[in-house]
Amino acid sequence: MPERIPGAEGAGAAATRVVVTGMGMVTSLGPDLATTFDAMQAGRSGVRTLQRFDATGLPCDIGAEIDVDTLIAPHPLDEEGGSELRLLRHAAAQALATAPLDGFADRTRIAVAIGGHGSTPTVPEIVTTVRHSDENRAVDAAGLAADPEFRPASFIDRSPDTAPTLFAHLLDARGPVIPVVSACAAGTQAIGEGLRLLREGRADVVVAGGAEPLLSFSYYLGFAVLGALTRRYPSPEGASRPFDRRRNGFVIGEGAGVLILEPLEQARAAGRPIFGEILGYGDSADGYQITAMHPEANGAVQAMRMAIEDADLSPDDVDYINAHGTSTGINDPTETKACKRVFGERAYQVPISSNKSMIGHTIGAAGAIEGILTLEGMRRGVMLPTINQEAKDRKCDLDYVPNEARETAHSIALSNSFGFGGQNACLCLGSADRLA
Amino acid sequence: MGMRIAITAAAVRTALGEDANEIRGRLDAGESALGPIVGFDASGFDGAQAAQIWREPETAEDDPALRILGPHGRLLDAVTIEAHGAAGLEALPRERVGLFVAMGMVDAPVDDLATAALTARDGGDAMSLRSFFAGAYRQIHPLWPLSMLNNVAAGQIAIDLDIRGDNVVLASDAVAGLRALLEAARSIDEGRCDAALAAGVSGRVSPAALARQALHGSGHPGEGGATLVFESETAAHARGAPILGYVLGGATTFGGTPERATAAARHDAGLEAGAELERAARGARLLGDLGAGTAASRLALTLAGWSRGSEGALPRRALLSATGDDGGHGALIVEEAV
Repeated sequence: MPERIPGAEGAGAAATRVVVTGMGMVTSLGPDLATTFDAMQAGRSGVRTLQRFDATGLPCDIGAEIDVDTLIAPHPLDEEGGSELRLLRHAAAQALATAPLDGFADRTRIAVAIGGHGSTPTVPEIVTTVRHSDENRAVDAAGLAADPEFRPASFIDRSPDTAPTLFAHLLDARGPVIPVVSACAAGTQAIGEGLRLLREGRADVVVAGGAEPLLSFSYYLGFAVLGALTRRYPSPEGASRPFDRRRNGFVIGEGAGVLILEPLEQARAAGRPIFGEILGYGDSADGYQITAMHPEANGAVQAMRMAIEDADLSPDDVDYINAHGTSTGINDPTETKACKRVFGERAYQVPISSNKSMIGHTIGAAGAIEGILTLEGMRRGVMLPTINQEAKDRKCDLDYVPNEARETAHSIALSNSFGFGGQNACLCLGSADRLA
Repeated sequence: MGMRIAITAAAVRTALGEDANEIRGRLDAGESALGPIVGFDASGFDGAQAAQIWREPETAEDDPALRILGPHGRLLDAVTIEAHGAAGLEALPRERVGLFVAMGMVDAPVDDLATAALTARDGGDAMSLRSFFAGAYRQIHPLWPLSMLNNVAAGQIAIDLDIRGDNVVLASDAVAGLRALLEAARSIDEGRCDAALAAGVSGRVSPAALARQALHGSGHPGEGGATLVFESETAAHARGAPILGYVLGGATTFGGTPERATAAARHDAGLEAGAELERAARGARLLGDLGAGTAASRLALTLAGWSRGSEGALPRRALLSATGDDGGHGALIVEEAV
């Protein structure tokens, strides 16, 4: 057999147990995991009237914005990596505090897997483009390029691989870099890809997660035009109401989540704290419609079952589900149906709650943020609530942990992410207590 | 890689044609796909040339698929449907057929906003945000936002082919293209899929693409993409599928040199350091820089070249390498089927 090459993928590994040794996040409810979790445990909402730009006139003018003043200081590379890179750096700083990468001498064994979508055109950029457009929408490219207000880097930071690769550069990570771009499933798929890299011996450590600075003009406008955003709400805080009968669309949120994944034995040998285990991962395609889940939840069921089987567990072992729970008319009853198909009658005994009721839908970051919150919930023995539960929907009749957090020990959980476009992904997560 | 992965179908589209053998022949004859840019005014970019698959503008207003996919999404859809059909995968369980896509840059279609923005001009040449939100934005087609999402084409392909397995979308450069092939091969190696569609497509040639290309200092942009079908050798034999070639192993790395990725790929393929490898798809640069579509296209064209007949007693092996815009490298080792 040839010698093992440093950084070689496919080096092979026996069934490797993968644990989480670092976690960090930023959301509209706080600049870190502890602040966010505490606020959510108290049932607070991070949804407000938009401050980033004046959306008066649109059918929706709310969002779960991050206070940029609380973020890590800007870095020159943010010019090309955009807000996505800054969010990643902020979340990673927390994760790396417990799992620093300094000890990994072979940097080729550090991999990065990040969900996201790159930046979108800003209002000034659109205005600049329009200035060089004629009535037939033809753009005078030469005039645009010569315009002093034209920002060349805008062509770079729109590329979805820019922020993850610059992030890898800043980490001095030289292993595989995987930018995943599967909309709402991207963060979960990134963690799943990280799990596979470690199991297959293709990396010693993976920095996985997702970041989404969604409250940009173009993204916000896009979702508004599509009719996906909530249009009627009693207050910004009361707008995101997954599984409630009065839900009528989702609320955009922004944020980032970063996890440090590594093999169990390695983490133990290094004496790093272990926050939980990635037990299994499943993903699938709905193959039904771009804008709607399969009515029988086929793809969601497949992903959930795959994650449980990949963990070598049965549905009876699952204690809790972190829902995709978007607050849209279609997702919530379909996800409820998926749970009933996976768990049967026991679905009524498995609590399921939606973090999006408090921090909105962070799209490509959602899977990472919700995965971290699930692990933290198991660590603290707390199931976070689904807030704004007021009117029962007969199609949504499970235990959604309504309005108040529940203190109860739990050790195995699923985290669902079902993408706009039809990609579905699910993680099966285990508590650190199980490893004792 | 634990096993040799059989390649049982390939489909490719480039500016030199829609058939791998035809494209291979034209490349072997030294024909270049590069030419003047059509479709928009590129005179601001010095000496700009590209290898475009230019079509007359299509009326997309009433066709959701045209609205949401964009030209390169539609190209990806077409080659994947062709490869799926050529491999005869219809009988496989749909949950066991995966799709691994490297998607070239999906630029937000700013020109779609232009009509609304022009309507909302403030009397000068600036846009009034208040006028825009007060009503001008309603001129934007409701499906416009979907065309900004990188994963939509892969979702549409799953619908068109009724496949429900792994559906992974990577972005957006040449290394992502190679990684999509590698991830597809691994899904077979690990038993997650019975068949995997491994696809890559370039971005469209646009003012944004030219600007990006100029900033990176890379070559002339091209348009094209390809899809290959991977299966285990055993499964391919069992259903009587012709085998076009094999994937032996591969790797991607970030930073360092291309040689490190090659060494890692050799290791993954179980090859000694000195094992002879030919360079895959010679002359393919004449197709322009296909970005995320490079690896799949070059693999399809390598297979087409080999299909003209074996040169010796031993099967030929080729190294397919990729370097990204950002310092990433990738290598894939493939073998001729004889």
